[in-house]
Amino acid sequence: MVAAEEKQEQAGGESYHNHHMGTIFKKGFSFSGFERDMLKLSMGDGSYLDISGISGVDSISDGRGAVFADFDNDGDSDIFLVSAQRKAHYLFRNNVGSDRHFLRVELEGRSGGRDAFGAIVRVHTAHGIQTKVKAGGSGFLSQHDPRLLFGLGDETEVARLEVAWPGGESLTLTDLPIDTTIRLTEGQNGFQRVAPPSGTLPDPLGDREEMLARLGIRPGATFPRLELRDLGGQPRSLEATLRPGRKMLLNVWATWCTPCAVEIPELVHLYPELTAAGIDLVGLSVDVDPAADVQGYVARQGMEYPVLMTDSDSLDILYPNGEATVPLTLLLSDQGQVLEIYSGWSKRSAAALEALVKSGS
Amino acid sequence: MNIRFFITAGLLLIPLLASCGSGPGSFDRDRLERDEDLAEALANDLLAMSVTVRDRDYETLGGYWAESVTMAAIPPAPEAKLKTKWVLERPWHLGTGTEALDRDEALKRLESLVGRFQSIEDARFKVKHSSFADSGHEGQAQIKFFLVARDEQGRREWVKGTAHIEVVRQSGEDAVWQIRHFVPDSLMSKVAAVDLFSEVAYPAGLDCVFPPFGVGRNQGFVSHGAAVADVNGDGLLDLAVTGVERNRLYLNAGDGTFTDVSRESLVGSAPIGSGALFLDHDNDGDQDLFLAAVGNQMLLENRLIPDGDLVFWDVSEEARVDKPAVGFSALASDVNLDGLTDIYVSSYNRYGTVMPDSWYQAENGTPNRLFINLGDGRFEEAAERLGVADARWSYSAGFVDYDDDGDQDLYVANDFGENAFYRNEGGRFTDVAGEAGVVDPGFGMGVAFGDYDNDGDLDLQVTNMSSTAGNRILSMLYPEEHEIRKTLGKQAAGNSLYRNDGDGSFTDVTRDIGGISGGWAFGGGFVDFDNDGWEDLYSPNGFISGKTMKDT
Repeated sequence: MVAAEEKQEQAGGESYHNHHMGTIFKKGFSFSGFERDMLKLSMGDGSYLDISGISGVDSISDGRGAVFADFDNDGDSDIFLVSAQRKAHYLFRNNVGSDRHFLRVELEGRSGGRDAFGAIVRVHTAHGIQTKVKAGGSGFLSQHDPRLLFGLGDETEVARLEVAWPGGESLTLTDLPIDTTIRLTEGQNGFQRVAPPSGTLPDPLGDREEMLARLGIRPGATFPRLELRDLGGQPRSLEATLRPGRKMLLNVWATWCTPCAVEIPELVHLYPELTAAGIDLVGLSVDVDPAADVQGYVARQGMEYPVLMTDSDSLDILYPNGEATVPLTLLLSDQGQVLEIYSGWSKRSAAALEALVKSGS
Repeated sequence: MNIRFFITAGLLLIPLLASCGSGPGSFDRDRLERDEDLAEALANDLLAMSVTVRDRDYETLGGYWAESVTMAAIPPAPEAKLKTKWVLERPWHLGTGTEALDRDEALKRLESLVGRFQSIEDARFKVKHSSFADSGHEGQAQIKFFLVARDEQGRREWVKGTAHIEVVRQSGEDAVWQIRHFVPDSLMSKVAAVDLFSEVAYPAGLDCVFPPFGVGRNQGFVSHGAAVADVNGDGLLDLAVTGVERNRLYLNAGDGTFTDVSRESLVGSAPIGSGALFLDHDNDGDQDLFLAAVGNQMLLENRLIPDGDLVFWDVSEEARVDKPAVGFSALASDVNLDGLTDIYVSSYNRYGTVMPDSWYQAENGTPNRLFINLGDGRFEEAAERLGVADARWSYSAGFVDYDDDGDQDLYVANDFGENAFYRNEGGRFTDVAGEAGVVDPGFGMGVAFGDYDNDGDLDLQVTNMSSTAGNRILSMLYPEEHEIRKTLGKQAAGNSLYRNDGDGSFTDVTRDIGGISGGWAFGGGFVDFDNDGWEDLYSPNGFISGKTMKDT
């Protein structure tokens, strides 16, 4: 038995490793997961200061390719990141770089192709030389801003700029402007000033908008088709639970959720009034641990309204970011359309539910 | 059976046993596996405890502490002092004495550490190394921990520390490790004077959500790339993204938002690519799109010039780039200086269907591709003829003229092995990685060139993986300093930085700059985000985050 396993391992270990990779991910385990991305700040003396945790680019994404680019043309590098799952796109707006001076250089080549990939630009200031290459691809599956952005710090003068075009031609320029973009064309002396249009990237989302962004559903959309069961384990569809002419208040909860334990008694209390106001109250437990005692919890809390249960695949639809934020309460139309989303349990959401009862259907 | 042990140890032990013929003297596989099982259980209990710290749920937190705890005093947070523009630091001065406390008193002390924050986004306690008594009920560990939070004034604060702990665990299935001794030996925090970056993908119209890895259409875990260029000539950078389901092209509207034009531009109709690359392959003045792919490679010709329409025609077949590869990165450069941009594709292999024939010197990847631009719309695949058909597991590559002779040299990062540095010698290439000092054994992912020391030449950064668990297993194998631990440690140490010495050789300066333990790192590289004239280093990372933070 052991010998056979070893033999398989020596033969390349193919099925052996596949089996384990598959096992790991099916169980929902991580493999070097939830790592916070790294940003190290050059201190200008050859040393680096790790500022990852205060950078705002330290996402816990499974980051792959990343692009440095000034999307709003304000004179600093923003970062676009693509992640392997869940929230797949991140756009990090740079809030600070444009407080300092810069010179941006656009290149148009000839002897090494119009793109001038591989051209090297050196910028000399009182503090030293900076060297950058126009790369046709860099990092991992990525290509950065084709324009080279030189940060100047507090310098207000560029003494000299040299460009080494692929193929060996070179050009030296003096009397350069700052805080602007210049365009260099191989074979021409001097430079052209360019004024690319600028427009500020938007502000980040507030908490509620952030919550909506994390959910797999949006107000106005139809509640997704999930595999549901009743407390007896029988399949039940949400569509069949909706009743014509009546709205549904769907309360998503879990036995392990502390705020739910505060909210559920309130809902139990509101249940008759909601029903009278034309709103059917339905609970949806997101407990996926088979050991969770959902039935016992329902009985203890005196939840007389229908309670459904779901599985982990359905959770991925509801919470594509993998964070099951409960409680979550949704008001649905009789067609299953999401009319309103209340996240968490707070005085504000409680007041909103009270108001809902008063307003009727 | 411990799955992590087999995978991590597979990466580390197999090369170890192969390279030295035998393991360390006291190597006891059963004991090592048992210790790693205990360490993993402790690591997972500390992660579960981390969540209670983050949520400041002191009642549940108490379950991870013994009834009586010896603990050092933790002084209140010192005032934050300016370290450099926008960055402040709080240096704690820790005493040495410990006191015996009951559980409630110990929790009060922890509350004094975390109670002051406006919010806590993340807390993490991780095991650096640990050892356990024969009974399996007692152990001690060196741990590191961090908090990512907002302080009283709403500023981002990052607390980092290390501590020595002793733990006890009762018998029984549900028993968790409880801390009975907690002495921090370093504690420091950094504070951002302002938010350096803000995440705005959603309001910018770039929101995109993939299913979790392994679910539905998301079956590839490393094929996610991005590229920028001004594709419609309005002076704003547009964005192509590859990865899951389809290729995406977003136009920059100029008002801070982006519009998905994948459908109308036909970029979304081409088969899914991995690496995206904009280039003007026909020198007509607009930006065309090349897509490296698992399958046939693709060239999409931008019809902005001459038609005036932003439509990308798939010309892969006419251009003769429709060659099969397990293509990841695509790179462009004019390698023969004929005024036409050529294209290189790094090719991996189908991991899972094929396994690397070695964890540290794998040769059974697939050949990389070099498409020489013939100038009549066609390309000739010439990687083999020109000496760059590296048949290892190549993830990415980068062109650079490192020796200032006017032509383009090529660095190739390979997974499970050594990297290559191909010097361009009149259009043919020779691997000089050894003499240039940039072999960088390990798990090469990404390549970037930049001048980190502002001395006028381009230095090299290679992204690699660093693994807390890998280092933990190594430290159990080799409690003392050991040559093999150093060698293998390099493979689990993280990114590498090589300084260009200006004479054709490079020096590994990774340790001199304090190491670049970027986790399981992929892309990124040099970016002077604060415009101070010095290249900073950014590295996205993380292999697979599951439903729980618990590792395998």
